[in-house]
Amino acid sequence: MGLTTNFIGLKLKNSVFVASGIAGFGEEYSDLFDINKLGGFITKTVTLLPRKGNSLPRIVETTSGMINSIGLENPGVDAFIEDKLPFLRKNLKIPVIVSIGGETAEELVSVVRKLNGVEVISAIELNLSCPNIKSARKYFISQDKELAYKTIRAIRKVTKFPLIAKLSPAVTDITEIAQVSKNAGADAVALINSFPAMFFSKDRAPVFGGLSGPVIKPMALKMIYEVSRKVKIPIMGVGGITSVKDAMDFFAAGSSVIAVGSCMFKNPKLPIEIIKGLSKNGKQD
Amino acid sequence: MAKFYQTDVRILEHKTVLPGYKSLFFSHPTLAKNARPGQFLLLDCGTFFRRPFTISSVKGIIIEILYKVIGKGTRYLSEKKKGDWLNVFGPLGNGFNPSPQGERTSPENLVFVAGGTGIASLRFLAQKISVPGILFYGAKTKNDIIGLDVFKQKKWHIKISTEDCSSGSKGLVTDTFKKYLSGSRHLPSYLYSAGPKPMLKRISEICISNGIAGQVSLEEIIACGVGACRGCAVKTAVKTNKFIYKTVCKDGPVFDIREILWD
Ligand SMILES: Cc1cc2nc3c(=O)[nH]c(=O)nc-3n(C[C@H](O)[C@H](O)[C@H](O)COP(=O)(O)OP(=O)(O)OC[C@H]3O[C@@H](n4cnc5c(N)ncnc54)[C@H](O)[C@@H]3O)c2cc1C
Ligand SMILES: Cc1cc2nc3c(=O)[nH]c(=O)nc-3n(C[C@H](O)[C@H](O)[C@H](O)COP(=O)(O)O)c2cc1C
Ligand code: FES
Repeated sequence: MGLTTNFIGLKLKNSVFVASGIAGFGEEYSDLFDINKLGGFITKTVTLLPRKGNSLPRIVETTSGMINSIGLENPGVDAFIEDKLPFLRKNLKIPVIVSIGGETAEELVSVVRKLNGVEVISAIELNLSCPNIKSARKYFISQDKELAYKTIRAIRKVTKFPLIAKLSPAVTDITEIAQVSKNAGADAVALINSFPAMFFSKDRAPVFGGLSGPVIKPMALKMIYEVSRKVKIPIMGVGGITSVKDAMDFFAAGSSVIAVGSCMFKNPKLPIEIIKGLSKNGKQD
Repeated sequence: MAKFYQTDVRILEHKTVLPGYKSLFFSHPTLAKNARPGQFLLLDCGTFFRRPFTISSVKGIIIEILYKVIGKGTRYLSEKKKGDWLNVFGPLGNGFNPSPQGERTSPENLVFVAGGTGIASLRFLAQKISVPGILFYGAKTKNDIIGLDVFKQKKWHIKISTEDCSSGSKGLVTDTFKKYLSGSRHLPSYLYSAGPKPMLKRISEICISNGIAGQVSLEEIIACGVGACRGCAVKTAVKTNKFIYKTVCKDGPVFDIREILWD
């Protein structure tokens, strides 16, 4: 289990990824371990224009996890192609998945058009938990079935890249959104993004962000389990994975592949340890 | 490119230097060889985020961490005993750069300003600099003064300020420093400073207005420690009237005093 797999047409030497936003653009952790040992690499979400991100505080520890309010700081897709892709092109032999975000379908389509044909990229992950300013009623694109459908559909029409729709857990029924993603042409879903949450800064100003870490693992498992039973679509499982046992739980719940997230901050070598652990388990089975 | 490690080390010695303050020693040949003053380590303190600590001295292959026990993580750390394992990640960040003027022979040229546990990083820097300078050190009380051994050995001028007047001058180190500047004929040419943010801000303002160049070491909450998560952003000046966010963990923790845009 967890060894060589085929996921959305990508040949992987194992099923362990690092989640978007955790390891930047690949270079940051390259001193510590060989990124090519991973099944694949997912970049920090890039947007059409550069984003400075939020003011401080941006992160806080919680019981069994953390809240981040980074605000999608990223150099924008043009600078990403210019400054960040060369490292990935030169050093990565594993599939590179570029995570993209935007407030509207048009914005996302423009980002995809710029990435089309860039040979080092293997797939696109749509971060549909981006704030959506056009519709005041709903906060994230993936919280609105119709909007999610339209958005994924629009992107599907302009690119041949395999598409992974990364969904927000803050919905009544995740299976509906997963089904809609499939209908619109997504090749897989990534479950889950962080839970909307807040904390207070030192001077009691409210800070809104996303809750992640071991605290969300049981909820992630439930959503993956439900989607895998109801919708025929490959799942990338994400949410509080902190050990080989957690990884096995995610596979048991129905994930085809998994991505390690914020637990890497406590144990930077965690993805490598999980890969080693899984391959041991695989041999024992 | 600096190389960093994540590894288990055994604690060689762990002693109380003053009530509430501890010194922890471990050995790691390559880490000790690569570590530069101002760089830090992320220690697994049982908490979800690791905890950052400056490298406070290096002797041969032995690395020292000098820290104050203040909360959950440092309490967990303080309970570790000699012989226990500790998971360390580092060395991280950019350390202090040598001053562009080089090391001047005249001791009045170089000033260090330390606030609280900020003394830890300046202590390692003092170890590496051959000439002595003047150390301004602000602490709450005389029971919070740590890490002076290196400065004494190297014959630094040490000027202490305590908030309760239990040692040295009464009040904040920023005031003592300012008073010193206004009373001295020969202004120092270079500053290194570490401590709480409000102190660093004030010290930077004082230095800039007196034409003194220098570097400060910032503290923020750290998650990844390698510039990946963007959690530890700091506003820095660019040529236009805009700003860019840099990271305390990777671009810093040491910055030129003219670079930072204080809130
Ligand atoms: C680059 C750097 C170097 C440092 N070097 C030293 C040192 O040499 N000696 C020393 O005594 N202290 C040092 N500190 C401060 C030290 O990291 C904090 O005192 C420690 O993290 C507190 O942890 P705690 O769980 O005991 O306290 P908590 O109860 O968690 O928090 C108390 C306070 O500590 C600070 N803090 C908490 N978590 C973090 C974190 N992940 N990163 C940064 N700050 C945090 C916050 O300001 C918080 O309000 C350094 C901090 C940084 C950023
Ligand atoms: C600091 C930080 C930054 C993140 N940035 C992104 C991002 O840019 N795009 C994205 O799709 N998810 C982002 N995430 C969400 C993670 O990819 C992941 O879905 C979430 O944290 C849950 O997994 P975990 O509990 O293992 O961390 C971020 C999470 C953290 C902690
Ligand atoms: S702590 Fe992650 S970028 Fe600094």
